[in-house]
Amino acid sequence: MALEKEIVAAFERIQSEVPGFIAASLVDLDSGMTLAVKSARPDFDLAAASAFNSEIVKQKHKTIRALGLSSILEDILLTLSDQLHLIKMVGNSSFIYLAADRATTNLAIMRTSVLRHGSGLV
Amino acid sequence: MARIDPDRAQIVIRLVYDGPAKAGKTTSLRRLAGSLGVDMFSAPEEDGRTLYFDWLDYVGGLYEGMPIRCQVLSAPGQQVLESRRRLLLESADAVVFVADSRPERAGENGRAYAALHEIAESHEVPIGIVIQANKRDLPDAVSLDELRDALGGGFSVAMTEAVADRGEGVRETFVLGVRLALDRVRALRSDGTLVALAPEFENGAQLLASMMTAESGHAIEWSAGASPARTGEGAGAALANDASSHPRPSDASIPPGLVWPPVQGRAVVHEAARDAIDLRGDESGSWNGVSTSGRWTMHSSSGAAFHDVEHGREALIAWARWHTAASSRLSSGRAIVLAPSGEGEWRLWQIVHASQTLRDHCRDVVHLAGPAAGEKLFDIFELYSQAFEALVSSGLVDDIALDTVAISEHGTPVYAGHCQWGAGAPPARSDGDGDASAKHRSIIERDLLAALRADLAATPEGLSDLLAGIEAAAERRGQLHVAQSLRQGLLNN
Repeated sequence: MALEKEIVAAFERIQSEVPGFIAASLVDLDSGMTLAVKSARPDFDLAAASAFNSEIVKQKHKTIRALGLSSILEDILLTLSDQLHLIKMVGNSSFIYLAADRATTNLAIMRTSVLRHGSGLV
Repeated sequence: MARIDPDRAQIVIRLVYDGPAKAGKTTSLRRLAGSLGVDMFSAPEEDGRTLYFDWLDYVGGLYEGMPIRCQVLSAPGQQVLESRRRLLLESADAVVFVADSRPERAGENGRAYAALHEIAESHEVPIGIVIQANKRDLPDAVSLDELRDALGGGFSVAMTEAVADRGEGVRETFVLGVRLALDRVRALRSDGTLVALAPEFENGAQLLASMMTAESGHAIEWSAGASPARTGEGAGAALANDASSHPRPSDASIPPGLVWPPVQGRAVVHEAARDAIDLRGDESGSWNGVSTSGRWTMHSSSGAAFHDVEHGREALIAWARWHTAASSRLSSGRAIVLAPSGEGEWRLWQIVHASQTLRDHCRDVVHLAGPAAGEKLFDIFELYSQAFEALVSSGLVDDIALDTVAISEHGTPVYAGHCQWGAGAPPARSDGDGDASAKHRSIIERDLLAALRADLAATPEGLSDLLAGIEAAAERRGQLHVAQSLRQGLLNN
């Protein structure tokens, strides 16, 4: 597991690459606790968002099992009217949660940046 | 103790930071508070030493849809404040033991950890422990293995590295502690002992007032309806077989419900996952692995593969029941894990800590002088005999060898190997009979002689000393016939 400051440094690199960056966190899937956070908006409740997104991931895992699939969940994209939220699994037990402004960001850049800087965090 | 706060619909857990004085508990909490963006309450201190506790309250994460409220405390490390420390530890769901990595603190680490371990294990559902090896930046910091040894065999406890002064490793340790606490919550829930009650204390000031009241001689109710048990005086990465086609016994991220025992099991998996594992399959479809450190072995038999997780979970439960019933005859430091095999299947794994076995004790015999060697050899002989009665004659396992028998903390022989897959209910402990003893005696003598011959091959000059020791011990114990067999066997080598 990378150190908190290393994770934050990775998020800062993501922030510099992703236009419309709002916030990012590395989340422990089991507890929904954040292992590291980086936010550009003080009013964005990143801890709450991270926790509830852990439930989404767990439910998706249940769905995969219920369907009898042997597939591995890689990422989840949530499209809001004004934001894009990307959930990228990192190992089996954690995920990166990245929120960006939909009007200014680019999904391909989000994915590429998270893949580039986030995959080595566990 | 954990509870559900019905008014706020939160799960409330308590993490206590413990460890010897000046190990970095308060520093860890201060850094954690900064990292989480919450304030820390510190009860009065004396010269920077914690007299009562530090406290922080953090709501984050979710447990089955409910926000998790973490009450995080540090316990005082000074020995004169032991009763306060004990009171706080008794109320914990998980403990982060902050160990000082400096070599001169080994003794204090060991003493503090021993007391904590006793408290943690005294509960029906044990308190989870994670060791935060602190001050890892110091040039004379002891190795993690040395630190673990100083803590007295805490091999089944998770360990993390930290430099609390710089905040390194603190948050990761905290989240691992929360996981262990949630494992305990699940265990309490399945036991029906997870209560729905408001937290006994809302903040540090309330807890402080309560402790002061208690110390002034007035009894306090710490947790009506859910009192802490026995309050005492005061109240790697995935287990890494590099070949991607191999099944893997998973790592500490294993989902809840797929590891047994609920709390220590995850810690065992966490520790085993620190090493690379050399996994090998055999023709029968079984898999065996040994960690590079030699501390852990793992096994998954051919019959322990399942097409879906539900069947695997049923087998895990049955296997866990078997282990629970047989626990007094099994070595400690075990876990059973249900893990995906990578081929759409699931496998049950036994992970077993490598104990010091009778074979290891045999190696010591040839290095001892005269009578001590004989005494130790006869001790091994008797333990091995008892092992045949308790483990083989009773039907618990089919066979044993010197390297699959260890000595429990009570001095009795326990099985240190991997248990046979598919065993039914473990039979009751048997005292055996004389016939069984006679039947096994030749096997015992054969195994002991084979071990001694192998060890003497390296130090043949020890033979005459060993023979003299055997004679002396046999005479003292009245076991001349055994001595004669061993003597003949060694001389005929």
